[in-house]
Amino acid sequence: MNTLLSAALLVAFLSHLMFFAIAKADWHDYYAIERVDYPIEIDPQVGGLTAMKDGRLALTVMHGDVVIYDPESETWDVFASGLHMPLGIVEEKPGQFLVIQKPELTRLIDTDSDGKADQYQTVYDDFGMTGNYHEFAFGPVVDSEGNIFVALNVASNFNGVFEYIRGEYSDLCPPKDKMQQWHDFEKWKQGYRKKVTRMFSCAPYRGWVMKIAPDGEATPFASGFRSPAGMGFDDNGRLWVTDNQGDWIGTSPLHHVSEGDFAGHPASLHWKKGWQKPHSEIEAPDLLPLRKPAAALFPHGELANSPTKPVKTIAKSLFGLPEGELLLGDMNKNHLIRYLPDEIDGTLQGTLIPFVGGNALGIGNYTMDFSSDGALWVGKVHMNWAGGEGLLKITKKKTPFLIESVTLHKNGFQITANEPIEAMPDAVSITHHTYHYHAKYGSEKVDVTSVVPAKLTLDKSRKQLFITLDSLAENRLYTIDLGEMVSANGKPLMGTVLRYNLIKRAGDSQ
Amino acid sequence: MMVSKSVCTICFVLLLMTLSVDVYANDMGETAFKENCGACHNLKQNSTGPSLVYIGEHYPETKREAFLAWVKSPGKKNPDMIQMPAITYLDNDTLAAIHLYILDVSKDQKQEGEKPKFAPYKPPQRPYPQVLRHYLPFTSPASIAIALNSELTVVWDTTIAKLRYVYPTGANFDGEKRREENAKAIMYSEQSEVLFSFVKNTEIMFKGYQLIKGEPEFHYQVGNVEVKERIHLGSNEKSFVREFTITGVKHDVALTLDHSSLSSIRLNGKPLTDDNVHLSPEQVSSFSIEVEL
Repeated sequence: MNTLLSAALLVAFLSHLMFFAIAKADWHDYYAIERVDYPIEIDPQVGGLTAMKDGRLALTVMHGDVVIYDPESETWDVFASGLHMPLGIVEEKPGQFLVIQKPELTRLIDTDSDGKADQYQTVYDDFGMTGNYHEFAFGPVVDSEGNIFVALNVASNFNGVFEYIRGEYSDLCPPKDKMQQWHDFEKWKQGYRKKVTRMFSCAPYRGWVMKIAPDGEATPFASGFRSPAGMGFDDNGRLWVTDNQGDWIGTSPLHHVSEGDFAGHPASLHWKKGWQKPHSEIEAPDLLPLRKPAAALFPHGELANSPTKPVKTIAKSLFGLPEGELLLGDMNKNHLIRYLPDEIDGTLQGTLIPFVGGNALGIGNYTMDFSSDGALWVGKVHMNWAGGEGLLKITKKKTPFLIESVTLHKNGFQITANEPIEAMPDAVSITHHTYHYHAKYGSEKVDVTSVVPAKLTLDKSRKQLFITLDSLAENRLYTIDLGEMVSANGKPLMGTVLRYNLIKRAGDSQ
Repeated sequence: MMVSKSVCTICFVLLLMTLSVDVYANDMGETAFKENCGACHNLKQNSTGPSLVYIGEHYPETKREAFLAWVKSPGKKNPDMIQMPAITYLDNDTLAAIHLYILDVSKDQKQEGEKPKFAPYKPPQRPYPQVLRHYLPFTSPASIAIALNSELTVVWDTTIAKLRYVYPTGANFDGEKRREENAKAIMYSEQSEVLFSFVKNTEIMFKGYQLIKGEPEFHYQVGNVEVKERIHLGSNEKSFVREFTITGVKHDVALTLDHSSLSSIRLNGKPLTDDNVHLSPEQVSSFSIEVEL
C-alpha cells in the first residue's frame, strides 16, 4: 500500500514538475516585444502603419496626422495633418502615400521634398456618408495590377443620420426625417430606434468592398460586410478581409474575397442591383443562396472579438514563421493569430492558431507591418472601446516549435510541425461546432460535438502527425487541441489549439 | 524512512497545489469573464466599462435575472462610456457563472476614482491656418474646417464644393451634438448651395486641395470647368478672402452670394451692393471675394 501510495505521489510529483516545465514555456523565449518610446505630441492611437522602403515607418494617427517615425534616429515628423480618422496607409513611392480617411481615399504628395505633404488629392470619394459615427472606411490595399481596394463600414442604430448627407439615401431604409431625430438619445432609444436594424446601410455602398482601378473608375466589388476592419493581400494575389461578430455574424470571420461575393451581412444589399427587400424584412433563407462561407472563424471570446488587419509573413529566417502566411491581431485579445490556408477544390478554408501573446503585447493590436530587417511593428488603437495605444516592435530571438501547416485529407488532418515531434501526443482532443446565422447579435456555439480520433500516426521524419477520423463534417469549425507537445529538441509546442474551418471535405485524391 | 516520509509530505503538498491550480484554472466564471468581459471591465475603476465593484453593487445575487437581461440586451447607463455589445452568444449558465465571479471578486472591494483607461490626447497648438476634416453640423459629413486664426473658422463642404459658414475658432462644433448652441454661434453663412450658375444640376467632382504656405486651395471640376478656390485670412482679423482661378468657362456666370448676418463683401477689392453678380468668362477666370464680418 505504502509502495503504491509512494508511486502515485511520485507520478504526481513528476506531473507537477512537468506542469511547471510546460508552464514555463513562454513566447518571450522566442520573441522580444519592445514598446517604442512615444512622444507626448503625437497621438498614440495608430490607425494605419506601413514600413517604408527606406526603413522608416509611416503611421496614420486618429487625430488626423500622418507621422513618419525613424527607428534609427528615433525621430518623429508630421508629414500630413487634418485627415478625418485615417485608418490605413500605403507608400506608393518616396514622398507619396495613399491614405484612407472617413470621407475619402486620398493621395498625399510632397511635391517640394520638404518632408511635408502639400497635395491632398482625392482619389475616390464617390460613396455615401450619413454622418453616423460608425461609417468607418478601411483599407487601402493594392493588388499587383494597381487596383486599390477599400471597405466601407455600415452605420449603427446607436445614432441616426445627419441633416445633410453625401450620396443617395436608400428608399429601402426608414424615412430620413425619422432617422434624423436621434439627438435626444433617451427619446431615440425608447422610440424610433427600435424600428431600425442594429446596423444599417442607407447610403451607397456601406457594407461593400470597393475596387478602384488605376484610371479611377470605382466598382462595387463584394458585399455583405459589417465592420470589415482588416484587409490584406497574400503572396498569391488573394484578397482577405476580416469582419466583426455582431448582428448576422455569429463569430468574427476571415473572408477570402472574390468579385461578386456576398459575405453574409444583409445591410449592404440595399445597393445590390435589382435588390428590393428592405434590410429590416430580410430573413436568413433570403440570404443562404447568396452567402459565401468565411474561410476562417475566430471563436468569440476565445481567439478574437474584433480581428484586425492581416499582414503576410516574410522570410522564415527573419521572423520564424513560414513565408506568405497571414498574421492578424485582435482588439480584445492579447495574442496575435496565424492563418494557415488550405484549399480544397477551389474553396479556401484553413486554420487559425494563436501566436505571440501576453501582457507585454497587450490588446488593441490593430495594424501591423514587417520592416525589411525582419521586425514586426504593431500599432495600437482603441477609439474608446477595448484596445490599446502606442507602437510595439516584435523581433525573433529564436524560432519556436510550431505547426507549419494543417491540411485536410479525405480521412483526417495532416499536421506538419517545423521540428520533429518527440513523442506521439497522448491528449489530443477534438470537437466541432457551428454558429447560428441570424439577425441577433452574435451566436453561441451550436451543437458542440466531441470526436475521438480513430488513429494518430507520425511519419518517419516525425514532423508530420496524421489524425485519422472516422468521419468529417462540412460547414463545421473543428477545434483540435494537441495538448502538450514537445519537439525532439525539448522545445514545447507554441500554439497548441488549431481551429480549422471545414467548409468542404477533401476528395479521394487528398 | 524519515526521508521517505518527508518526500511523501512534499509530494502530497505539491499534489494539492497541482489540484488547486487545476480547480483555479477551471473556474468557469473567471475563465468566461476573462474571455468575454475582461478587456473592458476592471475590478475597482471604471475604464471602458464600469468596474466590477459598480456592477456588483447594482446587480447583487438577488438580481441575477436583471443581470442576465441586461447583458443580453444592454442599454446605455453612463453617457461617458460606450454601449456594451449584447452578449447573446453565452448561455445562461455561463452568464450566471460570470455574475457569481463578479460578485465574488468584488466583495469587500471599494470603488476607486474615475480613471480613464487612456488619457485623452491633446494635440499641440499649431500655427494657423489649420485644416481639419471632421464631422460638423449644418453641412455634409465630408466637410473641412479651416481655422484661419483664433477667431474665424471657415467650413467648406466637399459635397457641394462650397463654403457653407464661418464659426468662432474654438467653439465646440463637433458633429450634430450641440446644434441649437452652434446655430447661434455661426458668424456668417451662405444661403445658396450653388455659388456658380454652371454648377446647377451638374455633377461636381471634388479633386482635393493643395496647401500653399499652409493655406488650402480647393480643386474641383464641374463638366469641363476647372475651379480652384484658395482661402486665406483677409485684410484684418475679421475678414477672409476666397481667390478663384477658373478655366473652361465659355458663357457669362451668375454668382450667388446670398448670406446671413451683417458683413461686407468685396469683389476684387470693390464693395458689392448686390449679392447676385454676373461675370464674363474673362472676369471669372481670376477673381477674389473678401468677406469682412
